[in-house]
Amino acid sequence: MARLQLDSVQKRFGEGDDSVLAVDDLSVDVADGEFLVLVGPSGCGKSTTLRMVAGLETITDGEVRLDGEVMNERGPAERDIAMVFQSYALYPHMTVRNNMRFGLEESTDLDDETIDDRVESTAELLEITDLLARKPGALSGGQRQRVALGRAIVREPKAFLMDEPLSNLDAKLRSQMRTELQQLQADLETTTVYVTHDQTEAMTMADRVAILDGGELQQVATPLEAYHRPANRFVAGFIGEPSMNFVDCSVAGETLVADDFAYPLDAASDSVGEGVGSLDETAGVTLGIRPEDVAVVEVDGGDGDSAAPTGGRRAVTDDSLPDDVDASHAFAATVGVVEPMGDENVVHLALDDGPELVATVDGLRRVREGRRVTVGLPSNAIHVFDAESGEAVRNRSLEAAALDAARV
Amino acid sequence: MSTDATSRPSIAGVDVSRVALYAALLGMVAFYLAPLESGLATAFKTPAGFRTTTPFALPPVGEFTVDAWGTAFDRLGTGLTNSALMAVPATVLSALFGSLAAYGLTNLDWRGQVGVLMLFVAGVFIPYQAVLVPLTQFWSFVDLAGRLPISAVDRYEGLINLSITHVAYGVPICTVLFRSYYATIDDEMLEAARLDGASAATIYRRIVLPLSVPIFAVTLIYQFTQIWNDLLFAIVLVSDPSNQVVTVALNQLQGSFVQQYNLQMAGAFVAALPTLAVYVLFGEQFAKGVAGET
Repeated sequence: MARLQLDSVQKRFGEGDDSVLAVDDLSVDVADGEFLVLVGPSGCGKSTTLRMVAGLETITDGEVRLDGEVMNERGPAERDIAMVFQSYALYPHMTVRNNMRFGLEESTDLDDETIDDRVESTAELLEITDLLARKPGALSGGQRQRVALGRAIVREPKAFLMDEPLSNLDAKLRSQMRTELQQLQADLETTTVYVTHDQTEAMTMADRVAILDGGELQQVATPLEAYHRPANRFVAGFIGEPSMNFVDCSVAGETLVADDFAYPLDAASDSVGEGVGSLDETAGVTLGIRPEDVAVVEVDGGDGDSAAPTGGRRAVTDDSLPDDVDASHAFAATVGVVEPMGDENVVHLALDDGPELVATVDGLRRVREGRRVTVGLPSNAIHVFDAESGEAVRNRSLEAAALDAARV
Repeated sequence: MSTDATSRPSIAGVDVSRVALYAALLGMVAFYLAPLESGLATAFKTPAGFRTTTPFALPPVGEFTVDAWGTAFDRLGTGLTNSALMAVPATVLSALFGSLAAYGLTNLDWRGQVGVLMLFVAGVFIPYQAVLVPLTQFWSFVDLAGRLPISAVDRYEGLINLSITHVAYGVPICTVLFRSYYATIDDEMLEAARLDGASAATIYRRIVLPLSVPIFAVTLIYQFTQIWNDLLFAIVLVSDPSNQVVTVALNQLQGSFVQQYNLQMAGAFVAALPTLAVYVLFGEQFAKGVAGET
């Protein structure tokens, strides 16, 4: 158990002009017992970062400290860190028992009896006692995953590093292992750095997520904070499934304009979103809104079993939209493809004014392709990003207390 | 037969393409086995027998004998022992060194690796004829028996020189064979071992070596056959008749006036027996190694 600090860590592959900067000036402070998830698209440097912490890659610049001690010059064996690999990396010629013993035999002076005890109790914890005499070749993917975890846990290291450990499992087993792993980490209270490209894993498991892109750290925050208060457009688009809707706009006074589409920010009835910065008239901005915040209302009714309020036969109506949507934030649209997910429908919408949006609506609501609808974009749910830097200029308004209360 | 013959050309229910396939296969088997059969048949004939019959005909009644085998065993006995004394250590050592070198060149990371690997690859292509003279000069300069006054060294000097020479010239090809196998080893597994606290040497001993059994079988069979069958180095490097290896002894079965084909054939089979035995012993592992199974 230890605090893990990455201080301005940099990794450069190659030398001279051919060199590639894989990780640039990355600083993260992982508290003792914290579960930090490094997430990002492939090639963002997350695995490289993990490997630098493990000692499998040299650190070009900066410092990695574990419990205050600088790890840069230490070999992987001297860091007291255990790693779980994507391929499980079990020793195929050894039984599960010997796989788990190996680390203890090589890294400690424990006598055989103590090693046996530790292996047995770890096997019990992971419910793999029956498998101890088997070899990895005779195990299923899920079982191998458990053994790989067991091999890490049995060493009782200062920190766990996990490199996409669940990505080789089928979807069902993955979500089950996700919960189990979370529980295990909470029980063991071991500092953990977990690398994944899957934002669902990041959201569900992490105490905090660190989002990386192009070797640069974008944001370190709790999952909900990253979701509701993304630091920039990349984070906003990466976290959340389906992705946030983006509309590139220019600023005209207090109105966001994209061709025929106009979104006034100064409507009197709106509760104003949290301003992070003021809008610059000269620069372009990107309007962002999450699919679940897009209100969809049927226009022409006639769909008797629609659970949504229908707005009669008027072309655009505002009295059927949620109260917090101003009339100026309602737009006429046509429904495109509808993807039923069961619990929700993912609805693709084409606004008459140009932009195309994705909305999620209740799974029991019937929304048909080709229907005319009214789309409401509540101003308290919109995000505004600087088009050039991608920085968030304005995030959705949210009671800070709500975010804190949701923090687990 | 009749069930799958519906879609294929068949005559009276017999699949034509299948018949052709078996005929071709049988032809090839006959082609490959004919020399062996002729050799075996000749080895069991009396001198009168092999003069009066064609080589591949079986020994006629009255002309069958095992005398040639007895003589062959007698005259090749020392050679067989010497060959075994020379070939077994040379095979094992060249495979072991090749394995170690391949591990260092494939699974470890250090500067100048590529240059060293190039030298090993170049070593594979050294023509033995080109190094005969420097090699003999080298061994006369080394003078093992003179430097190590031990009776065993003195007695087997030729064999020791020959053995070391084979190890040296065998290491490059062994390294290349092992390298292609070690390149398939999961890097993450070796990294896991490093994180588990194992040193490079421990990883070799506890993980890489146990996983190398199939490729060891391939290399051992290959090297043993090469070294056992070598005649060139044996003729040039071994002068002492008591150190004569089996290939040289076999060569001397060739009489100067009368060709005793039966004796030569029996001798050839006797000399080849150990390599056959090695194939039988390691055959299963050999197949795995060639298939590249880990």
